[in-house]
Amino acid sequence: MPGYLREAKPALTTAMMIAGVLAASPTLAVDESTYATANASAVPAHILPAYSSLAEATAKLKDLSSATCAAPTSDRLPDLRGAYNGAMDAFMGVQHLRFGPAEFLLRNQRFHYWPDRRNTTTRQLSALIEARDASALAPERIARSSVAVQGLSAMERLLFGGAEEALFTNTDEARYRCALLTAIARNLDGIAGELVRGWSAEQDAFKDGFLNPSADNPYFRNHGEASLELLKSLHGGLQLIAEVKLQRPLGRSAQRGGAAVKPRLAESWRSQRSLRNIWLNLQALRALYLAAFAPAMETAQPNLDREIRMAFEGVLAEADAYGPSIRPLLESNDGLDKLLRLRRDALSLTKLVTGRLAAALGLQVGFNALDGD
Amino acid sequence: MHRAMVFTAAALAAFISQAHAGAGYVPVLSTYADIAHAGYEDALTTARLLDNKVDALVAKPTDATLKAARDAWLAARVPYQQTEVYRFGNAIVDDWEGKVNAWPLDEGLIDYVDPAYGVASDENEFYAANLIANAALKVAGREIDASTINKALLADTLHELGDVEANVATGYHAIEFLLWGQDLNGTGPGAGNRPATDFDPANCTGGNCERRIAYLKAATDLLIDDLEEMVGNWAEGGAARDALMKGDSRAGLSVILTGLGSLSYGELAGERIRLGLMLHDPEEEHDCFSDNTHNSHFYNIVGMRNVYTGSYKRIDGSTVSGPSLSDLVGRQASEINAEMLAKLNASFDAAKAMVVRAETKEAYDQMIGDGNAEGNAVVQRVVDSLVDQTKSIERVVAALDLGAIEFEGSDSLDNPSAVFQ
Repeated sequence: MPGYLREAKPALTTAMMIAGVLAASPTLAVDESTYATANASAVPAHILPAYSSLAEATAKLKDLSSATCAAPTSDRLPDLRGAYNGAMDAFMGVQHLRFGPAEFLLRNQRFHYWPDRRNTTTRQLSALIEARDASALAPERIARSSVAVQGLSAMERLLFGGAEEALFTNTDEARYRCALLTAIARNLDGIAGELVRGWSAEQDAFKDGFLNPSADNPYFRNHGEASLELLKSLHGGLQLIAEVKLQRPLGRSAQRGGAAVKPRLAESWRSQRSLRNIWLNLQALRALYLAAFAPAMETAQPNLDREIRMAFEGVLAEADAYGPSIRPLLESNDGLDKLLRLRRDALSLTKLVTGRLAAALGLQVGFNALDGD
Repeated sequence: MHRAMVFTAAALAAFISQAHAGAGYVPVLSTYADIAHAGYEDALTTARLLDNKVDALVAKPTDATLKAARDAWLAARVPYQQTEVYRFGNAIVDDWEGKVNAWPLDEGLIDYVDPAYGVASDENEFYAANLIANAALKVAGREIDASTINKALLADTLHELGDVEANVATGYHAIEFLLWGQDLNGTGPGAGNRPATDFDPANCTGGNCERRIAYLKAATDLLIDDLEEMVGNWAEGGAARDALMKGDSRAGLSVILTGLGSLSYGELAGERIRLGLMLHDPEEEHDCFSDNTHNSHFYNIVGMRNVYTGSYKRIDGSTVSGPSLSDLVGRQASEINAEMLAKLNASFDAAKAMVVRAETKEAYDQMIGDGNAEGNAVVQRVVDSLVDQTKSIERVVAALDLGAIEFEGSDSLDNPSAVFQ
């Protein structure tokens, strides 16, 4: 993280503060059974439904791309874009889940590689289209190729990158572009299916470790370690929104009241849905909180639970009212104020999670303290 | 992105319950500062040698003088890379580091590039601005007077131009690009191949040789200035040493461990190595122009071992050593010290295997290439050992009751054990 995003916060002071929180609630009854309940609830109430929605969306995208590219006509573009949007909507519901099946075989990154700091997607996609190697589109090949060309970020460029008409003309390049589109859709559908199976199969080593940890389990030694993954997902998802999805397009200068905004550093700026992405992320993060942690907090820490729910409602209402595109907001002072407010509120919610929620759960999200880049 | 490592309640509870005197901590901090001072001094010495060779190149641009300058650059990397373990944790180093080792860079900002580089980037309006060819830059409504290329232009105007981190105008990698040029071999064999005549105004290739010379000289001089500053920071009475020695000694140990954990995990295993593997992209190698990436990674790992064991072998062959973190951990939890030493050695061995492969079989950018299962596996082993080492660093933190430390995380890194199967 660039220095200007860093929070200057002395570690020991923060540690003392959190120590104080713990000391003030010595009777808090958080134990292995609390964690076990949270983990057992998160899978059917949040993780599996979210992946199932993803698989439904990618199945539609796959079917539509193969049908369209079998007989390409440009009047199908709106439908294709709609199916892409459906898949992106669903992915925003699982983007924060970066552990287990999503991490194995780089599935999360392969599904949607972003941010792309070196413009790799554009570079590698151009090279791929230039070479027009049909064998590169075989399922096992594309799944092993660069993460930048096999997922939604590459597909967005094909459908919204300014050359989308080139999908439908009667040329070799058009046929290759359409074949690539279909190959990506098939790849996405494959990944989504694997994610669903990872969390639903009768016997999956990771899922079993998550739900039934033991001292010699390779993934989780106890329920607390598994709950930690959920807390990290909640924290990471919120941090991504505040510090990357909003901060990057706002640029450094926005914080100083300048106007050096960078609209093209927003996620999904080509398909004009950057704020919609954030709104969907927030819905998913709230669903995770409600499924995993709210049941324990409702009784143990009702005030904190209420605060977290209200904070979610606040940022959700903001993102909903401002979306779907971030660009118009970046172009006016009023819009910048709104985005800065949303970023501030998302950061507050992040701090609520890393501070009081983590302490109440007896888990510790590290300090943003002595360093970090 | 920044990902926080999460510590369990047990570590925190231990931290709360114990009020430490921090006995034996100060000598460990002192050794750590001494090694920093020696390391930056060696980096400065080798940067001055590089400057001499650059002068010789400019005086008489031939293949031989260019090669001598390149060799001097490679030698300068050896001590510098060992100091990178000081970057995370020491704010003075981290704030300064971007001037000397910023990476990756959009080299089209500086000089001519191959057409395949392209002319535009989502991220950077100055992606292909080519300062050496243009005495005035006009990009996105901004006009920059670049008629005189000097240290001030590079450091104050060009570096991070437009708030874009990829606009790297100074430091080792800008110099590397000027000495080698772009590596146009993709994931095939070969490094950058800039001709010596790019620095020969009488027989100029690449155009604007005078301006290119001015750039190279200014960048090399700046590197010396910056390293002098950092040597001063670690000398007796220097700001970095004082920040460490005059503060809470337990916080000082946290600084050491933050440096070790952040470099191991997010920075080296994640941003510098695994991202390149998953993109199969030669642009994602740290020393991409010179094909020296294997050494850069290797000496980072050597630097981590230096810091933990409290011993650094200088470029003149002498050794700086003293009471170490390893000694301290060994007294409090000998089995964790043994585990930590074993993990550091495993990372060293994995990195050494990568170096041997680079020297005998194929360059690092080839190792990370698409379809090179054997090469990918060699690099993956370095990632895995660094991630594994990070878990032991967490245990060291817990054993010393230092409370929580945030390690530098990475988008591209989490549980990599099952990734490149």
